[in-house]
Amino acid sequence: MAIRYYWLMVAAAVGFRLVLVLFGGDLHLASRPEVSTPLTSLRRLAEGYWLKQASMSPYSDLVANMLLFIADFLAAMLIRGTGHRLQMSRNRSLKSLDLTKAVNNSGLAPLAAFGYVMATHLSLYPAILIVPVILLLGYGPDAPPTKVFLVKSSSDSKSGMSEYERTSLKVQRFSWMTVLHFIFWLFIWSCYVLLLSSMILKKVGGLNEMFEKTYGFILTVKDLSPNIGVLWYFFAEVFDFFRTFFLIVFNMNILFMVLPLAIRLKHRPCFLAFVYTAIVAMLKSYPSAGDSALYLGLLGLFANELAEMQFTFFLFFGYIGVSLLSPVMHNLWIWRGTGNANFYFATGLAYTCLQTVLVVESVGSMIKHDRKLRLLVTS
Amino acid sequence: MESSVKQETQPKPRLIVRLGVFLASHHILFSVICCSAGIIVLLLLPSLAKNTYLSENALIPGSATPLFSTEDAIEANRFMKGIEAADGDSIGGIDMAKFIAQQIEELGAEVCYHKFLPHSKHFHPLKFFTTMSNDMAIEPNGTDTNFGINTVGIIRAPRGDGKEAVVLVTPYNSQRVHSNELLSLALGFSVFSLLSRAAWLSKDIVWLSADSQFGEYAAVSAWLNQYHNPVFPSHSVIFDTKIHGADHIYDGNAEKAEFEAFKRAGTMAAALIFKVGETRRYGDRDSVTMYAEASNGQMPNLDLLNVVHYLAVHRQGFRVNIAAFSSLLSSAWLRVIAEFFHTLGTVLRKINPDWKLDIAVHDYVDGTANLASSIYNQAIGVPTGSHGAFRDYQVDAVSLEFTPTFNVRNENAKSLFLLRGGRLVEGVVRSVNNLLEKFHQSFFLYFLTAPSKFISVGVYMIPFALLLAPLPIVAAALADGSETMKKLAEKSIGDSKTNGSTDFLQSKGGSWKWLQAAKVLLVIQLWAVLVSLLPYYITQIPDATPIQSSVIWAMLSIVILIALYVMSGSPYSAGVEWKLLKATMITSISIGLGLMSIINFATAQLGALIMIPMCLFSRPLKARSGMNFLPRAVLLASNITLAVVGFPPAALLIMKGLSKGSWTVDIGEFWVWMEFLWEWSSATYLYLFLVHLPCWLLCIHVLLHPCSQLELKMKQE
Repeated sequence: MAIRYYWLMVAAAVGFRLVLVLFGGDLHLASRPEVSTPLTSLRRLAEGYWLKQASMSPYSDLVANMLLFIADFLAAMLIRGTGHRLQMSRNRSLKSLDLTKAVNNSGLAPLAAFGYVMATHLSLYPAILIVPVILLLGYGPDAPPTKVFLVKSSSDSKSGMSEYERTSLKVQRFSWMTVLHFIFWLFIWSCYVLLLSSMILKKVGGLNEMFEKTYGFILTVKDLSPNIGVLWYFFAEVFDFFRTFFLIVFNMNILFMVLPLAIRLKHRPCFLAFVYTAIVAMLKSYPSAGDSALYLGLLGLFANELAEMQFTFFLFFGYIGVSLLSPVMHNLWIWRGTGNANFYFATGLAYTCLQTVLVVESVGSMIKHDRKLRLLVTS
Repeated sequence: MESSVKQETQPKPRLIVRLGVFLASHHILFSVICCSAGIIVLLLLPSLAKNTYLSENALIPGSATPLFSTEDAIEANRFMKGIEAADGDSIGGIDMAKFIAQQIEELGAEVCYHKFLPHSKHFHPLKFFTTMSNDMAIEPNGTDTNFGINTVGIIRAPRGDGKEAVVLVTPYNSQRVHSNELLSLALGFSVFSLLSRAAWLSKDIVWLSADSQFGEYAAVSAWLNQYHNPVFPSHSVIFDTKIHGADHIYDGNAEKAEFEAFKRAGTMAAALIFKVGETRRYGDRDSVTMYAEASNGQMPNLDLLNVVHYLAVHRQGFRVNIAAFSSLLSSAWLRVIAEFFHTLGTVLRKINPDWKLDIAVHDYVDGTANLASSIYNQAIGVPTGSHGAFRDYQVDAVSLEFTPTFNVRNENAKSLFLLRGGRLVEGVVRSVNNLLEKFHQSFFLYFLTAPSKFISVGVYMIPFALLLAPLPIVAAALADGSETMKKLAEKSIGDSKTNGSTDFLQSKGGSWKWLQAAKVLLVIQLWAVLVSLLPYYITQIPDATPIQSSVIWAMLSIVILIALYVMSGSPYSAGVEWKLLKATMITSISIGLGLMSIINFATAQLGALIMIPMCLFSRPLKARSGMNFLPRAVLLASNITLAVVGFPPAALLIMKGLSKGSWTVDIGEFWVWMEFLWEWSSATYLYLFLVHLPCWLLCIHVLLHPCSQLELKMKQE
């Protein structure tokens, strides 16, 4: 289904982004807590670059990710491409509730591995995305659960099944070759990146310091400057002797959800990736608005499956309300002095709650959707 | 089959969901109760006011015997004669500044001049939000001859570490000096001279005699700006800042060139602005009027007002006033309400002696007049005096305007007045001097109903919260109602179709139906943003009268609206249900009002009184309903009335008519008003154009909704 004025809207979005780039100075976007976190701050990047030039350790201050205009545009285009592919595969699988063909992904494995390594190198959390990536490469893009196909094929076999369908059932199995290919490239790229890093950092600190100051910095929540998440407030308040315990708890929290979700949603790797990004955006140590932009962009891919989702009205206006409330509370606390940290933290909590509702509702309605498919097939 | 699917997928909802469904099913009753309760509590506010109390113990006002003596009063008189003489042979007020500086120097205090340019009018409605104090100080350069000179005297505290300071401000107009302004300068100088001898000071004292020829606020804010944003000029800039006509201050006296260098004391703990106003004949006692409202409804810490009030009333015998709407004092209907509440209060008192709501009629009327003025001044978002400039830097400040009851030529009365005024200022400085930390104990968010009575945020939030409470419930009821209706319709369609499964798969999602309404909202909000930015371009037109400007503004707004509709399609073409549109409107207005209540509560409170009935009543004029003629006509009439009242220019006209009694329609006036708001970077401007106006337009959309969808469905049923 083509959208009206598609390219016009693209142009408008690009224009808006350019306007922000050109006139963003007045809004002080570079220092807004919603946009700029210790990991994404351009100012810290500049500082790190300057320190490197001065032949000091760049990790005296933290440098990491930089969101670039073109990167965003490419990402939007890629999401759209993925959407098309998902749409195609969905239509194919639903047409006669036939089987999906594994999309020929083998050529993309090195690229996927490269993207994965870079993302992990830059902010660590994408590490858990290895599960959906492997599932995607192994099973192909999202499809109704295997059980549906089995039921379908069994009912079909009674009435006699064509040879073509019988063969294509085999494709459904996990394709180990692609995954091995991916893992091979993953290994190569990580070695390559680590080698490059160690060469650059040889004089100023070495790899050890890099691990310590990047991944350690992410995992131990050392920078407690306010952001839209909840961890900064928690770790500012918590007693020091509990700190380690809660660090373990909060970091494990993300890992705990990886396996159950992977088992339940293994037939839908793209949706699984969406859920993972949403959970990470909720629980990571330095979240920014960009994280939610990523998963909200991915949400559009599942428009058909999530048509029956509940509370969408509430979620939409909740997101709008929180995103307006948060800067106001920040202003009240930092600039006007009539509020305090609790005001700003409250909006952070509300934001996390909204994200929780979104994840719970979307997973719930996706499972419901699959159940409905099964019921439709069996009846 | 479909019903079995539904049964399986809908487990029993949780308690909170069931509670929400219960409230939503009775939303009309709920909103009527909440709104009327909100308005009743709002009217009750004057009776709910509490007496003020000092919550910071370190202040201990009036604990020390005032040192300000008759000799200081004589000193003030001497200063006054001197400055009168200096004013006599002055050119452009420079000699006055020179005289003040010379007197300060004789006291052994530090002195410097601060030169500034008048504020140019700028359109920056977001300034209060983005850059609070990051403007670079504007230095006068060689081409300007029209500049003001503030004279700043600084006493270094003998016991302090120079990290904190108390600021005293006496504004005077250097171009046209009134005798009462000279009196306030004399008062300022005598207090300053006393403090320069005080051994107990632990905070620096800064005395700013502000040149108010461009307005008090401009002078004080220019000085504060330079105080907080140091400039590090390069050499070329230093040469440029030589000012025409300013050079002859120094008369070739080289060592006084140091007056040019900007001097600073520590962080400001508090500021006191005092001036002597016009003599009034009525009243038995000299009175002091306190002004406290800063920009966007920010107030100084209540403790500062408490100290001033306590010292003025209980030590120096002044009568303390706050600004009031005097027209309300004689209003008959207010008296009726007061009588009613008084009777109600006495009845309640008999039931439970702890309910002290039986406020005297006179107190209620006074309290309402003060409260109305307090709410109005906060809601406009424009500071009531130069204390507003201090609040922008998070410094608590209050303006005192003395109103003497004697003739300025009466020397005895004047000396007595100087003595009492000086002791008041000295007492306040002493109290603030005792503070060990920033003001933080008492309230920042309050309304005053009398100089010693206040309503804190916990109380005044109640009527607003009651007014706002029905909005989410009604929105949920409307969104849900339209959904069930849709399901019904879908079912009837689905039954007729043989292939139900494809219908389920292809249906474009019942729960996402509001997306169309959200799109309409988005377009209207975009329009509102554009309209609110238009004045920036309109102000660039040279020599436009207010009437021309406002006509251009209105025309451009309509053109933009039409253009947006052409681009995105008419709001009705997509077949948006009016219930969803109304639900969207109500949700957006509750977000908007909630936000505004945080930025400036008073604006949100006043806005809620107009908007919430308008939103709740709105329903399409064409909508069929099972009602009789009379209720329908009443509903229709109230819809139209509220829509008219909700339109900002109309509301402004009505407000003007009610307050002044003149009902002439002047188109230019709206422009002048809006100009006033954005010049002061008031958030009320943003509220009017980003919350109020789009909501009003949506309301109009609901009213004019064709309702064809609904009728279609009714026919189908």
